[in-house]
Amino acid sequence: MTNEKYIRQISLPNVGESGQEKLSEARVLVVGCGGLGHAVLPYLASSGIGTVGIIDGDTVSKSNLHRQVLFSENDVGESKVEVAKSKLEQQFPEVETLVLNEFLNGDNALDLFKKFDVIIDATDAIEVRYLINDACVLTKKPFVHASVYRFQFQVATFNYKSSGTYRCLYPNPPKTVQNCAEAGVMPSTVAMAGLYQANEVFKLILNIGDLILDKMLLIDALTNEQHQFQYQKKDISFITQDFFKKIYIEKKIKTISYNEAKKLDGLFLDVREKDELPKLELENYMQIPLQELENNCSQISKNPPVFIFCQSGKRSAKAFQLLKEKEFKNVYCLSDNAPEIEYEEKENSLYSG
Amino acid sequence: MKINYFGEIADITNKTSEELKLANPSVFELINHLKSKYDLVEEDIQIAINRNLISKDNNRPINKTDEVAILSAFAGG
Repeated sequence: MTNEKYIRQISLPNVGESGQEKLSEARVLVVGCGGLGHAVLPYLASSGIGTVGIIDGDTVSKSNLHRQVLFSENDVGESKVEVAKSKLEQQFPEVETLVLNEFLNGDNALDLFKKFDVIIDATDAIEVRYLINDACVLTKKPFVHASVYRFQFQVATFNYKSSGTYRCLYPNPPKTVQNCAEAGVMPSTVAMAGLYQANEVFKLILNIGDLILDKMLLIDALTNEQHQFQYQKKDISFITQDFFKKIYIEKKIKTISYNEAKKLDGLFLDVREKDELPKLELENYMQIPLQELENNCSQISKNPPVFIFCQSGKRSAKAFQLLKEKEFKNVYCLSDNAPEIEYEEKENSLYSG
Repeated sequence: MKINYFGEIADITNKTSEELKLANPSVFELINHLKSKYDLVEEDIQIAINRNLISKDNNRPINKTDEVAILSAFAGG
């Protein structure tokens, strides 16, 4: 096959035939098929990257369409990675597209990362960034990060050769942060962030230019201001296989939907404060606010399953870890929380008469 | 000293920058100020002085001409 398709980039002195060869041999994994993923993926594929992997367990929803431009109205409800794969293969048939229709977790991250040369963090959840970071440290893979808050975005490449990691920039997950769903975002902002990531990947594979290493680039799309912040490298020797197992595998939260949980004979544990709305009247229901849970665990029987919920899922995740530490074996977080449970119960009572 | 706020922090402080006058400006005094005035959570912020992120445990003085930035991790994508 001739390289006619790529002639415009091959004619760049710092790419050339040998650069194109490097791109065609490269294997790049994109974690997350949301706004960032949609900016990165078409350009990775169009440049002739040999293998593009995508992992995401989500389905397309209508609120994705304004920035996730591979998706159309007909795709709503479909698996994001399957739709992205079919669109990319149609437009760039020479690129091998490997997809995994699940979320990245402690069980799949290490084996998956070993199969790729570069990992792209295109997620929208901070906890996953620590998983990506730590898995990249253990598998010795570089990763290109971007994240967005309204009109601002941060970009950096981590763990490349002896460079710093995400934990050098942000040592621990924050206690309070928002995501796109809560904060809002314009498609152009997230697309710019994703294109900076694609640009980092090209420089890394072609070994040209300067990567954003040991510093973070912050761009404000409203004011056009750019800032580069240098950070100090920190000791990351605590990121070991044992650490990884403890943080991401043993403490992994098991979830179940409210309707599935109702089929099992267990306890619904509400860890909200007593005055929070909506008030729920459920069978097998107990309310112990998160703050009081540690001292009141003895009220909960250890044998039947415990289904924890709160208002949004944040407190139930903390309660899950607490009960695990108290050696409760059969614990789940409900994927539905109080507002959804109230809705489900209303629907059920409508149908039952 | 000039202090710039980024991301969600600028929403909390309700401004993107301000001129701050502290009696004896230092890292600890700045952190205390941010905690008491804006209720910022110390663990969730990073401080850069003249574009270098600094250790929050090291109470170095801050000069009047220093440019300070308060940053946090962004979640969206």
